[in-house]
Amino acid sequence: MSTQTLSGPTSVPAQKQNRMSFGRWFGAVGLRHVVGLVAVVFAAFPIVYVISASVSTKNTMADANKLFATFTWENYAMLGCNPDLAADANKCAKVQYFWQWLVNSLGISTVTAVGTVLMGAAAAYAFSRFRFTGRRFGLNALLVIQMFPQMLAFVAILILMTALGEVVPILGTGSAVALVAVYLGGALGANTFLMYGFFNSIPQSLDEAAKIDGASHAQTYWTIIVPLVIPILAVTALLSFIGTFGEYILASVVLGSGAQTSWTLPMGLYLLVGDSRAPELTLFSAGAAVAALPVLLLFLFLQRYIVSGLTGGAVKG
Amino acid sequence: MAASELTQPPGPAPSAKAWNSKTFSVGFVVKLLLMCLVNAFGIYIVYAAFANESWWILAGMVVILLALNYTYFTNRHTLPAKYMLPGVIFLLVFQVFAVFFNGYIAFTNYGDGHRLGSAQEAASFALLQDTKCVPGGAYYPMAAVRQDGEIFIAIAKPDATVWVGNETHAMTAVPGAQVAAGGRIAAVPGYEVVPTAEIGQKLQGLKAPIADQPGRVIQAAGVMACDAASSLVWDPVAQTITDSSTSAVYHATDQGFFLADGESAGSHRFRTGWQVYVGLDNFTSAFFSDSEYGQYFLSVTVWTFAFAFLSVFLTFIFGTFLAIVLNDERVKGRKLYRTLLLLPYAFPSFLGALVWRNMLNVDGFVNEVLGGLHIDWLQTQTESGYWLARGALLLVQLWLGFPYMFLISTGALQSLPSDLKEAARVDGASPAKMWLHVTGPLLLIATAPVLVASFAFNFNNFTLIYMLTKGGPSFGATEPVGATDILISMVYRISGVGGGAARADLGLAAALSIIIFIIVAVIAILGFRQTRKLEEMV
Repeated sequence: MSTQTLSGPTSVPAQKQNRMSFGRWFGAVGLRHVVGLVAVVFAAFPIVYVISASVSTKNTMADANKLFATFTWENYAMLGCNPDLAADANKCAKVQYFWQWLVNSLGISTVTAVGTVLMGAAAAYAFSRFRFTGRRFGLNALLVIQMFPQMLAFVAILILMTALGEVVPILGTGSAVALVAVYLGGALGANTFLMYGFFNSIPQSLDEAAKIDGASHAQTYWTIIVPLVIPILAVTALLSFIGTFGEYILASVVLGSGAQTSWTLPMGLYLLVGDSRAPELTLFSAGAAVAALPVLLLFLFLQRYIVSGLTGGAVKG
Repeated sequence: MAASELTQPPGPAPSAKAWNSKTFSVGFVVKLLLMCLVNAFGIYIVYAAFANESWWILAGMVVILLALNYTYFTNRHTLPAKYMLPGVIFLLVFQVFAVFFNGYIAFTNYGDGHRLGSAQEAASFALLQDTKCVPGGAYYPMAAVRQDGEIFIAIAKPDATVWVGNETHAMTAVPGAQVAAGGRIAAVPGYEVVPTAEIGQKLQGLKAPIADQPGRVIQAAGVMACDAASSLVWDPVAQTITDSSTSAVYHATDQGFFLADGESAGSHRFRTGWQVYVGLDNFTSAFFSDSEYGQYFLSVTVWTFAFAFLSVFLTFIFGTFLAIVLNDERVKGRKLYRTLLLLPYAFPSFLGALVWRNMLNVDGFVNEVLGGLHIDWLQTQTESGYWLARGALLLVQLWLGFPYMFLISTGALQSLPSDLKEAARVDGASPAKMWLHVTGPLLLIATAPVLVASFAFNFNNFTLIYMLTKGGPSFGATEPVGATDILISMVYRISGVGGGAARADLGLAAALSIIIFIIVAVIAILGFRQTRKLEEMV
């Protein structure tokens, strides 16, 4: 598996490797492993720390610092507990809505990711396949809009959502639907350009063949083009999902004034260890471990797509 | 094709044929259902906006509905629009409109003390706030009552009827209430009587307008409630408030508050003003004159640039170094390395920042690993503490960002044209020279767009700053700005959205966000132009 050749030039023929002395091997390869291992330790130790703290019995820094000195599932069990029934009602009250936050965050991020991909891909398809007046202008406008982070306009969004909420409560502050709508406002700016490039690389002759066979433009799009661009759609969806999952400023603008049950994970978890003088370290760690799991899994499963998508977008073919 | 056309019955035009075939397709049914839902929701919004007299929202929604229906129910000329319209609508409403609206707010003084829309609203607010018991007026026994969490004032009139109201609901009679001896209100149907001990001082703030008597209210006065009125008179034509008890006249000023002759701004009587156009005031105060933030604008801007640049620089150097070291087919387990090195990138970054916040605590893990040190890495309020916090921030940013650069560099290295390297090798270039003159420049060209984008992203990396240090350590106990604050986190503080701001100034926040946008846009344009030049050179 690890001996498969990459597209880079072969510097040392394989048979030479076997005859290498340890000293030469260490100089050429072993040092690389040393650097790699140091980097892996640097990358992994905060995550090991979180897992260790999440199963620690005492909520003190000193206890958490001794990795895996104590073990308990209690911190996980406490997430989403009922303060009326819990032994430590104060502590419990801080995480009583944890599962609600997780569901909110997952729901908001999923809908945003799907919406972003649907709208972005459709727009990229139109730019790639149709020639219409305003196409050039549209592409340039997208480039400009891409540079403007939506969150910079958070003051205006706050006022807009307050005004909308007075007319349609579901589109106002405190509503998850409103937050998704705000996020979808950034959909076209996000990765339409990346997708546009990808669509362009798919030969137009496929569309024409389908058209000759009598397919409508919608059939061509859904049955011929979309299956071919799945990798870039997966990357776009994942990037959108992750971006939304960790977004704080717009979430706090739209949901901050609402009930805690409407909050997202970043807002809720920040409360546990953010400003407070006595951070709920173990509870936070358990929550963080649970919250990170879906994203980590997505990454592991889609790693191949992500790597090819990122490098494809970054490197001129 | 010609043969199949011959078999068609003569008469109908091709377009009509297309219409017929679509009528029965699954796609058309789906489209019809979706459009029904969208139209139903849209018409609901139009209706609600009409009922609420929100004409802007009504007009916007009507335009959106017309555009949608025209696009999806006419077959000619609208094909590209069919694919683009949904995204474009969201873009126009929640980004383009928001940006222009943001621009408008930047030229107003909207914020604490200036939240109302007009002098008229500010005057009615002042009148309601200023009421006093009418000399010689009636007093009534009263109680506080609650319905759905909302507190009302209830009074018992001499005829034993009980009346209930609050600031937003005029007094109304509630039949069937029980009044005990001495006028104590015992029970009010539909309401819960709140014990005085529970409501405390809030009781004294209760008041309610009397229907049909403008300017007259019922308000709490000690243990009783009284008939009250304001001594203020609002003159909508002259835009003045006259206090009939002192005959002082308060004029509506251009700055959006009421001021009497001889009264000095800053200690004026009516604190609640309204929103007015202030021209470029917000922009000048951002740079120079604002008492709380002006002095920090320049240093925060410098730090923002330094932070964004160093973030990109450090992550790129470290990521590329790892890519070079591990991009060698003699290294076994490259895939495993890649997966493990990807961990910080796959870990949600807000969580990463919060975890590091704990690890860099005085009693945290980093001090423990370094041999029991006792350093507050993130919040030491000394000159050296500021630099410590900035350094720690960059370390965390390195952890968060190097995997991405590692991926990008690995991809770029693998796709470099091998003939160039081969040619250099044949020419006898040493590995160091090859790096300096061939591989290095090619890598930079390939990754330049990512570096520019990464700079622009980190220029506004609000989440990291807010989660890790919240901008701290603060420049002094009462200062609103800290050593690691970047522009966007300062703007967030000024807006007062997160709470804790001494005064929320949305106008100033909007002006600053425009300045940030201009900076980012200029950098991005220059950066991309430079990138294109680099590409043309090769």
